[in-house]
Amino acid sequence: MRHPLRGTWLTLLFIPLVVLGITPSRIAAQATVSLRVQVIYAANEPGGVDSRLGGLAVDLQRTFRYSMYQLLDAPQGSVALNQGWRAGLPGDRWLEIVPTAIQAGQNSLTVRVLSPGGQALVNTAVRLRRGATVLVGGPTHQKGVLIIGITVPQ
Amino acid sequence: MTTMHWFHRAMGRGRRLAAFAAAELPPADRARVEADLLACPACRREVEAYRLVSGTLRTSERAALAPDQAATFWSGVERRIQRGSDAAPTRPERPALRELFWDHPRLSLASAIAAVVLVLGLTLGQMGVWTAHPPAGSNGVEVVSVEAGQDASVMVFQAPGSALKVIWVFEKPSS
Repeated sequence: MRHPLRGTWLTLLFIPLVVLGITPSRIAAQATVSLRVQVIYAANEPGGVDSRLGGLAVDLQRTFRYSMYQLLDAPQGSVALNQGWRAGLPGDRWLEIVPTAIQAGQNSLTVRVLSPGGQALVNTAVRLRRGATVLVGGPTHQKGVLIIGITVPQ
Repeated sequence: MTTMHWFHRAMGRGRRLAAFAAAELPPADRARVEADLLACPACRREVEAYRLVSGTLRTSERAALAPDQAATFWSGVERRIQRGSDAAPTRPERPALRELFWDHPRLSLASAIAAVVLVLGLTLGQMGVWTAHPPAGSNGVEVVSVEAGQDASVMVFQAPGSALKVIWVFEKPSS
């Protein structure tokens, strides 16, 4: 006679096989990180603060002593883990971001600013909570500098 | 049955009563049992029953074998026993895995749940759910490492009163 619980435990035995099929590596491979970058030109020139900078403008003014902040570009993208994402910067430079992990709501990123020759001006690893912004600044541009805001949107 | 009879049975006297009925007790024990029987009607009935069975067995006809049958009887029995043990399916000393799980659904259920919990735990563990990570700073940014290229130097700072963490690159003037 067929045992009434036989179907139940067969189902339960089947669950681990399904779970095993969805391995963490597959989950990780499917995970993507959204990126929002703001390329800002900062200089001591007339021009004031670009209104498109939104809430970032206040923090920029608290942090730096430039008189002018102009948003040059605002590239956005979505990239899979361990895949590179590039955005062009003025002066034939490049910004390269590689998300390396998403753990406990934090995104680990490798960020590089590449010179026109392809050499890294800076190579950094950061962990960003969703909605937080890290700034990479200093590369010269015209009469001022470039400040690059990198955000993982919420 | 009387309380006395149950007491006798509990004390193991049933075997003594059977021995008494078969007249196999030594005289001293026999006298003691006879004394007990006077006080225990149920014991007397039991002794009578033993005697009845014993008498029936003793008066039954015995099977008699002819000499040639007797010579081959036991060897034939042994042969049949041997054949039977060869033909009988052997049962493993320990229950087979299928038997263990199929015939014990509770054990299977517990095993399945344990397997699910184990696999989920391992999966979530590899996803870093159980791993403790330091908080990424009050502003949600943690600079894990930073290195400057050949033509630059670098500094990490956060201005007082600002929520922004800054990685600042100083480019060396090109020659």
